[in-house]
Amino acid sequence: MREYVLYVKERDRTASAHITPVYEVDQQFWAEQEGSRLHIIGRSRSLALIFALREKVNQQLKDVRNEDGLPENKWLDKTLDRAKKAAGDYTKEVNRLYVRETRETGYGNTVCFQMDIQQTEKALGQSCRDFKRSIQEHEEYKLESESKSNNQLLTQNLVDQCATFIETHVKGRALLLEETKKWLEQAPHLETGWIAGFQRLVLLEKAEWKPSVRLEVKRSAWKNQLLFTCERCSSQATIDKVECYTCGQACAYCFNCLSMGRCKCCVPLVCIPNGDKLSLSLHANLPTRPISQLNTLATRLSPPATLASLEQQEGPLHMHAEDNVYLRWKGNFSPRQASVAEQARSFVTSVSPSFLIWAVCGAGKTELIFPAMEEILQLGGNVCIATPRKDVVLELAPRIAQVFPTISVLAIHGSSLQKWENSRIVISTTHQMLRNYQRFHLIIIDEVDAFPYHGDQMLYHAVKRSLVPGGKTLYLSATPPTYLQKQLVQFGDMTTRSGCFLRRKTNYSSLPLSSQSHAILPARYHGFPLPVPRVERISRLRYKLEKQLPIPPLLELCNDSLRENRQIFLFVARIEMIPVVLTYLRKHFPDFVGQIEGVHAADPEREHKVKAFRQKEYIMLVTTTILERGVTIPRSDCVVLEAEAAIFDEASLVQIAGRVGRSADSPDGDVLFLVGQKATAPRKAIRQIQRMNKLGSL
Amino acid sequence: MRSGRKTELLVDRLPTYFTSDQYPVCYQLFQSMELCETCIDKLPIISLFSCVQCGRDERVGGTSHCRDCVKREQQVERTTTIHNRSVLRYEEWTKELISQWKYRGDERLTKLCSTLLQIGFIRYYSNERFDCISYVPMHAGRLQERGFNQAEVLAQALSIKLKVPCRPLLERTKETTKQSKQKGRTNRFFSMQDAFQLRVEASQDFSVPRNTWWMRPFTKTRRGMRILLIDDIYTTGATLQACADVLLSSELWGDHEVRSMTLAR
Ligand SMILES: [Zn+2]
Ligand SMILES: [Zn+2]
Ligand SMILES: [Zn+2]
Ligand SMILES: [Zn+2]
Repeated sequence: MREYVLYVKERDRTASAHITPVYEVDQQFWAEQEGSRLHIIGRSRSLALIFALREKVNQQLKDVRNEDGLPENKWLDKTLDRAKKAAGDYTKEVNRLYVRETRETGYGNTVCFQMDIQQTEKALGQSCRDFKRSIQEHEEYKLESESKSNNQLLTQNLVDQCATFIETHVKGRALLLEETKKWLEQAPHLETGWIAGFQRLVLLEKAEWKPSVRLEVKRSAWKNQLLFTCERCSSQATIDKVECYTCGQACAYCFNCLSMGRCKCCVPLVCIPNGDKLSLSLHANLPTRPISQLNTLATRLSPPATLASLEQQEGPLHMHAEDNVYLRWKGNFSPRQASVAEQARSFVTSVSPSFLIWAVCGAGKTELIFPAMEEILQLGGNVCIATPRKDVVLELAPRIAQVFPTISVLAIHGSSLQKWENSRIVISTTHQMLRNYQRFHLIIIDEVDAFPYHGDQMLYHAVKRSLVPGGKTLYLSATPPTYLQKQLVQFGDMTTRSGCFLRRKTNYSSLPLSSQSHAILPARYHGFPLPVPRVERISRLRYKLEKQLPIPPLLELCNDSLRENRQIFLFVARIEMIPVVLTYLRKHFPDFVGQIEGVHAADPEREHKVKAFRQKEYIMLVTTTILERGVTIPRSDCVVLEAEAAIFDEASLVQIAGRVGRSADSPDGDVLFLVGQKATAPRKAIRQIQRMNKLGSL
Repeated sequence: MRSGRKTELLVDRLPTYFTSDQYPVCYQLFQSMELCETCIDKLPIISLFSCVQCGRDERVGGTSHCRDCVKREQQVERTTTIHNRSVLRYEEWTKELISQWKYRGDERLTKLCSTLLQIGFIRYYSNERFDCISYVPMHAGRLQERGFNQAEVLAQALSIKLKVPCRPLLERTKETTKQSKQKGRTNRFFSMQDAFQLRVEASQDFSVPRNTWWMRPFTKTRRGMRILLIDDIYTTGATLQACADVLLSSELWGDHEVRSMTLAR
């Protein structure tokens, strides 16, 4: 069982409280600094408690510091007494609250937090003795023949070695202590000094550590409460209080991020920032590269003509740019794409912290980020592409690896084996971002609107923490959520009149194509406008579907499509509707019974069915919203049944409409929203599509 | 509407497993569990035709024992097996439940698992009277690593519900390799042989129960004790048998009888 020591460091009448798992390391560290003296306050196994106590003690010390006129001895005694009293009182209060809050669930058997307040200086923490012994054993084993006179020196060496190892290998992460031991396999001889080395880094202020579940007393006039917060996922509502055998006392764990290992009060969360600095400051307002060079990059990317001849130009280009060119992309941008890509690239060196690329479905948005990535890589930074879904990670990784052939691209998701490796380009699911700490200089968030990003505080927190201070976020979306639009799109102003007052208001209907913090790509790469959906209101829609009564708009659309040999997507709100719609269609189109199929998320044959639909084995596919993204069929139409359902929000309907007409040879297609009741989402979706078309035709 | 579907499923499924006097209580318990319809539908409850010895959901034709138990009977050197009952078959659903609960450490599931165990108790042992509930201990090292002992948690929850004292009678002295990694049944029996021992404090455990005014006081007047051992999974029975052997060979309280109950079999 690991024990933590809370001690006070005092020097020239200023004192501060610190925590260490290995007291000896701290002793050595402070001994290097003249005049510092250490006084142990107490020991505990509960990290959460001892961190809360440190805060409390530090508060107390701040008050004491100002009291002058006392002789040195007395001052010290008074300070320590105060600190100890504060620690003891706080522990009591925490325990009183803990017992009160767990009385009902524990059937009267409640446990509490333990803190040993040190009464004398002499007794050292258990951990220190253990550490000493383990290091000595280790050294004896290693250096049996050598003399042991330089034992002290070697210990110091070992700790330093560990610290360097951790600093170079585990940087940019926020991990549970158990997880960091994965690296030990690479360096087995470091095991004894692992925690000591880490503590050394903390003292050097190159790392930070926290209890993975934090504890504090929330005071209010009505009643005081214990407040637990998960340090990894920052959630407060998902903490469960339990009795724990790891620390042998009261504890709490977080079940929100349980799939990544248990966050508990007694488990440290290790945060090691990435020390990599950009070769040029990100905040420089002036263009950081010579204009000529910028132009080369721009011209190299924008006009198709130059790009086609890129390969022939490779020689001279290399001569011109002394730094390596990472991007080897042979495609070309349309003029619109080129301008958006260039804006995204210049954003990287600008002052603004975030940028939104709003590109309609089928605009080819992945390519738009290449120049920005190239820019940050050239500056010596790390890039991460975060996306909510694992299949997107798997699909994106080879594409990115192809255009950046000199850099290894890591694909990180729950079951990925590359989780613990390090590279300059990382493609990760948003969940795995919780394991990063100040690691990336640029984070590109793909499909901001998609589940589970939408409104999930935990993931925003994760992204924020993964950025180095001053890092940049680039959002990529076809349907950005409203709060992001308000935040990043600079809408025009308008003057309204209320009574006799004139008021300036944001005019959300005037949508500028680009600004400091956003750029819109309103047209698809082939330049044709997006197909605009139609809304048809059918009374008693569900009843008609269930009773197989004719629904004219639906049947007309299906007949037209079948005549023109096009495929049809039918979206339903709930899985239970799939069989209903299947029987309906099979009854009305008896000639195509074998070519009508349904698929849902939990379908074991899901991939097979989608593949068969792609190969035109099926003509109609009834599906839930799982296929709203990703699947693209060249000649297809789209029907949404019961579009008023809550699951079809504006973003989701725009995405569904975006399935249609994506290939250049058939840029049109029918999109039909059937509603049974009045609904706003379909209308909003149509308005958004029309607005994009209007912008695109400018 | 949703709970209606759940009720429908329960009314449909439960009478095949429970007798008419167990049914009302068990129905209430099932209703109180936080399970969705799909889970209720999948729930692999052990059927009535299970082995009378080890509780496995299997009977060799004509007998009332499972294949393993029949084989054991035929062996020259007969090994004994503990009288065991289990609640669920160890299938996909149960595996998922237990791995989420035990290995991932989702202790919210404790309530669900203990209710399932309580249902098992009502089903199998409601006519029997136990003096004490105990559980299969974990090695100190592993316990520290995991943070909780799933068998202990189950036993304690059951103890509170049945008002029978729960005592940690045993301790684990040997860290055995993970059961799933061991080859062969006999190997497992051997490796388990002296993995457990009686706790030194075991005799004191029965003096005065702590803070348990509602528990039946233990009286020494009876000749032997009836102990119910709890564990989460019964794989070969080696663990439970080893525990029972230790309890039976101890001469602290005269002739005992040891039964066991597990969540999965
Ligand atoms: Zn958490
Ligand atoms: Zn703990
Ligand atoms: Zn379920
Ligand atoms: Zn059997």
